[in-house]
Amino acid sequence: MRNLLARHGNGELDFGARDFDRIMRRFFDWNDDEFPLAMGSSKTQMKVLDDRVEVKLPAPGCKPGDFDIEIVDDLLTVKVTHASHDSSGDDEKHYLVRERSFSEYEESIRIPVSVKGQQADAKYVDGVLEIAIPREEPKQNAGHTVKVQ
Amino acid sequence: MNDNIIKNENENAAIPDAQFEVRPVVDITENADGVSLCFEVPGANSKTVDVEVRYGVLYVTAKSSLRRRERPIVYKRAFQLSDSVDVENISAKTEDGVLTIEIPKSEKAKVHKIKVN
Repeated sequence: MRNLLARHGNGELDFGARDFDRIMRRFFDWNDDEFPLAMGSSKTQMKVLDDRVEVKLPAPGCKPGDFDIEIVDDLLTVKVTHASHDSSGDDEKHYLVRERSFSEYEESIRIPVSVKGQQADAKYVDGVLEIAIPREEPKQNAGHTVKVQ
Repeated sequence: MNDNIIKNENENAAIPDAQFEVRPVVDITENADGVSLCFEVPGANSKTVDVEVRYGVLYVTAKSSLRRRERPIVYKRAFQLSDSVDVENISAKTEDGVLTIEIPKSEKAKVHKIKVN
């Protein structure tokens, strides 16, 4: 039966390398063109601003209820459960290519500044989990001069 | 037997310095009516996604709000289509960072049962 799409893979180029590439993508849950610098490289992006810390985690195909977010002191933990994904019909589907993963994902990140975890806000926009955590105000008179006798 | 070879435009196209090009993962499923492609393009939506067919090749480009190495991420991937598809009725939609493209089969590619008298 003639396929509507070409088979995944390129018979003219290095087919062995492309197969290896596909295995590595599944194992490391990585969808980059570059080889990962380290095993289990983080998906999360963090930006420290003057008044807040912004954290972004790409998680396409989820719903807001699929996320568990916890902030304890300076440790942020995000867990993605994919609970909303319905896999009941997957066995009946005829897959020509299957690269997406719906496995659970968890990551803990140390926040480099003092934050007000209880005032954190999160939203899910276009497949990206966005967390905004206000920073603690700098303490006045935080410095202390020590006199040497 | 490979009828066609998938061409990935990423491999040969020049990458602009201002963008970080990423090859999105995809699930492709086939049923009696056609083929469905689901690309993961987090940070992209219907306003930033471009899907077109040129000379029998399906091109997908999606600009993301995410950045990598201080450059905006652009998802790019391409697939060679056979002439058994109905190009005029290809549809696409995005939801929660997933781009779904439905490619219907042409009438000649569908299974037609012939009744024997």
